[in-house]
Amino acid sequence: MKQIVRLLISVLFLSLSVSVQAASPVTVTMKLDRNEAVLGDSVRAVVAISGQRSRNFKPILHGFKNFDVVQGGTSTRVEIINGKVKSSLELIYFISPEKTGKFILGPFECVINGKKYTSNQATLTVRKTPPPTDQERGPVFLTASLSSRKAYIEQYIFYTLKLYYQFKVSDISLTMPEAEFLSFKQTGDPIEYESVYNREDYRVLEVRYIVMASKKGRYDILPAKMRLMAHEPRRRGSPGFFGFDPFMSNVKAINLRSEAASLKVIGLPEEGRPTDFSGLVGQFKIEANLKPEKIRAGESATLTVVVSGQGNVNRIPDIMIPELKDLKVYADQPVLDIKTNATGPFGSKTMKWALAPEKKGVYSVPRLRVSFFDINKKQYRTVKTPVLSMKVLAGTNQKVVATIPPGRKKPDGARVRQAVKELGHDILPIHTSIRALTRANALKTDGFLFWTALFSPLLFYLAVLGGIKLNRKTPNSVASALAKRAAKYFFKQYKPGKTSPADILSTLKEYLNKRFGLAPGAFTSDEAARVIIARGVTENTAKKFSVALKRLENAVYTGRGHQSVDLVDEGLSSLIKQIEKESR
Amino acid sequence: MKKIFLIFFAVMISGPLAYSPAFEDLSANGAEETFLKTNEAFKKGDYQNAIQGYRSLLVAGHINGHVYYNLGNAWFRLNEPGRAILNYERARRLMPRDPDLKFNLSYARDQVTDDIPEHKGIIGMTFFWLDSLTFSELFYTFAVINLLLCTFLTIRLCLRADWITYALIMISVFWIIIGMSFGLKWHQIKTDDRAVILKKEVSILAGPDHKDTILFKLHAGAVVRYERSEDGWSLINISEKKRGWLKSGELGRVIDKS
Repeated sequence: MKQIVRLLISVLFLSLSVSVQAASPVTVTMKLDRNEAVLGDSVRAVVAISGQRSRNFKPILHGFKNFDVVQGGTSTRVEIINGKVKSSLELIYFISPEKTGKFILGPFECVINGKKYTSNQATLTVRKTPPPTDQERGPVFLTASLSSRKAYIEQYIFYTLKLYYQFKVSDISLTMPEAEFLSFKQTGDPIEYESVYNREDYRVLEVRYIVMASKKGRYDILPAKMRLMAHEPRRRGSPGFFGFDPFMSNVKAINLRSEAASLKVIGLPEEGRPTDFSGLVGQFKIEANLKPEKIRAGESATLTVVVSGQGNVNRIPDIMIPELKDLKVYADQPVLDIKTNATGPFGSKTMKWALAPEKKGVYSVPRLRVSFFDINKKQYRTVKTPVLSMKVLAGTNQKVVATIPPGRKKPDGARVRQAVKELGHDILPIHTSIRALTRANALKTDGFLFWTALFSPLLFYLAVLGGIKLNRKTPNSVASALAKRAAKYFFKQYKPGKTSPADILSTLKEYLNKRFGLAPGAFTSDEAARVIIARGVTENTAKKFSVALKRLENAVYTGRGHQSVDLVDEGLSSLIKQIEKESR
Repeated sequence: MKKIFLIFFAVMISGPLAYSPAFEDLSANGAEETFLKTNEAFKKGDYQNAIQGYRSLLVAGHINGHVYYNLGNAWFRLNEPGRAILNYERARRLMPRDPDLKFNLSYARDQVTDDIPEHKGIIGMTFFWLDSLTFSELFYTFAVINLLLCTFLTIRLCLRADWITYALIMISVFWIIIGMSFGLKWHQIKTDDRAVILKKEVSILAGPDHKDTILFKLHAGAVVRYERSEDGWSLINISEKKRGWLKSGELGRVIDKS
């Protein structure tokens, strides 16, 4: 069983190595850790061979005649991505220049399995080591330099910051100088390498920026400021790397300033400026193609123009196609692609048009041009496309449809449809209807009517509610209502000279009951007098009332109750009125 | 007593009815003529005059979504995406569902360089219909619901019936929802601090002075949040960490306070 397992594992590894060997083609690339160095520096060159795992070949290095080359080692890598196996081998070399100048390094050559592979070339500029100065810069310092002290408007130059350090640094924060009309843009990630400064070894952290001025003038670029934590080692017995024991260190914050720099920006020359110049500065080229070159009337061909190069790519203008007779032109949205590398910004602008001829013939697209200011030659240049032609054959009597060509048919006869291609973009037109003026109006919230509309229904409801509550009949309100009507009732019942004493007495008692809230029942004239006095009636009036009451009682109890007694002289009506007046 | 109530009712009910478009005084003839002439100028390509014409309508009090829309189109034709977007946003407050406006605003926004996402708070996500309705629409709806509620409450004082109670409950639910929507919309309008960058490229500075540090740059059409103004400078922000100053003339506020 164990033997079978071992056999299976061996087969698996064997197949993996075979598949690795066979999976990916071999490519060789060479890369330097920087493009500039000084004498005495050590530059790291890495040669990557993909599709290869073992070093069973002899490498040949070209262009390294003026360099001292030391091999740094090899590393291999195997990746499995989406089921595909990729392997690569990296060879590391440390090269030290022996003379100054601009050198083309490479290509790197190797023969693998009987086939020769070569890499790309790389450029390295070597300058003289700056003369040693009397002033020591210390173990940590920052330098700034411009690739050129003079530039044109919108010409890109490089601003390089280098941090030289002899011990570990961390928590680095950088404040770049600011200047109006001057923009800084970092190119790529910072790089690290070793270098020599003032005959001392340093590690260097280098960052490059692209600087561009949008206005002419003299610019004084202030120093860049850097703050970092320096792990300065304490000296101990046995020296470590760089002569210090790396395990014992003082950590302190250090503020560094680079040098100031000066830049003179001059305007582009007026002389020789083309009329179609759009401010493009750099190195550019223009390419165009027209496909297909032979079509039928009713079909369309695509004209593609690409302007590409290095410089202020964002200024590449939109190329305009002149009006062409019997040819409808539909423009697509231009596509701008901008990238940045160590040499600066580069990119392209791709413009496309659909050309739809209306009748047969030969159509020519005139030369399209773009003008730019060539920094290297310091003059304006205009690049043009060649004249492009297309032949249009007779088509069917169909209307020209530039977007959808005639549909193909599937084998089963069903028509194949394709998506509608957008040929142009624009906004929709204005609204012209007069009715639009009366609609979509703003509402004013500060008007009386606005608040009335909101609160009037609520106020109405509250008013109704309040009214209902007020009109509700309570025992007190009933009693007070009856009291108010008591006198009225009396005068209604009492007819002087016609009402009998019995009736008068009854009415009078009823009046007293209602008016003063007395319980129904008999009461004497004196009791009646006491009641009305208690209600505020004067004694005199109460006495008169008591007398009148006695007379009535007397008339009734003596058998003359049914006869009318003329009590008008007694002033009964005025007496009741007086009681009403005086009582509360 | 009944007569008093009837008169009072008539006065109260006339409030909402009086506040309807049919009763607005448009000064129609002058505005229509200006509108027609301005549209003609636009069609002929005389966009500057068209802009003046639309502005005169707005100044005369015809604060209208279609006028703002046309004004936005005129600015767009003059290659001023910032001013175009500003006017489209103003039109959007008055006619948010207009398909032409939606299309043009989307197209204009595609021309904007800066990628600043629009943030919606929890309230905006919960009451998602707020952006699709105008303040006027919510006001009228609320006024009608309010009137219905108060009418049914009044009827219920005199007449007790099950159907009145159920109707009242249903209307109350609508009243609460629409009332909250109306209140939130009002709040949204009052606190709308959006502004649009008008100039092609502006530098946002750390302070209200030309010499202050440039923090970041914005381009025409970018929608920012306005905070306050000082001595001809305005403080804006696009996020909590990105705030700065710029000249007030380089910015246009969506709510025109002038």
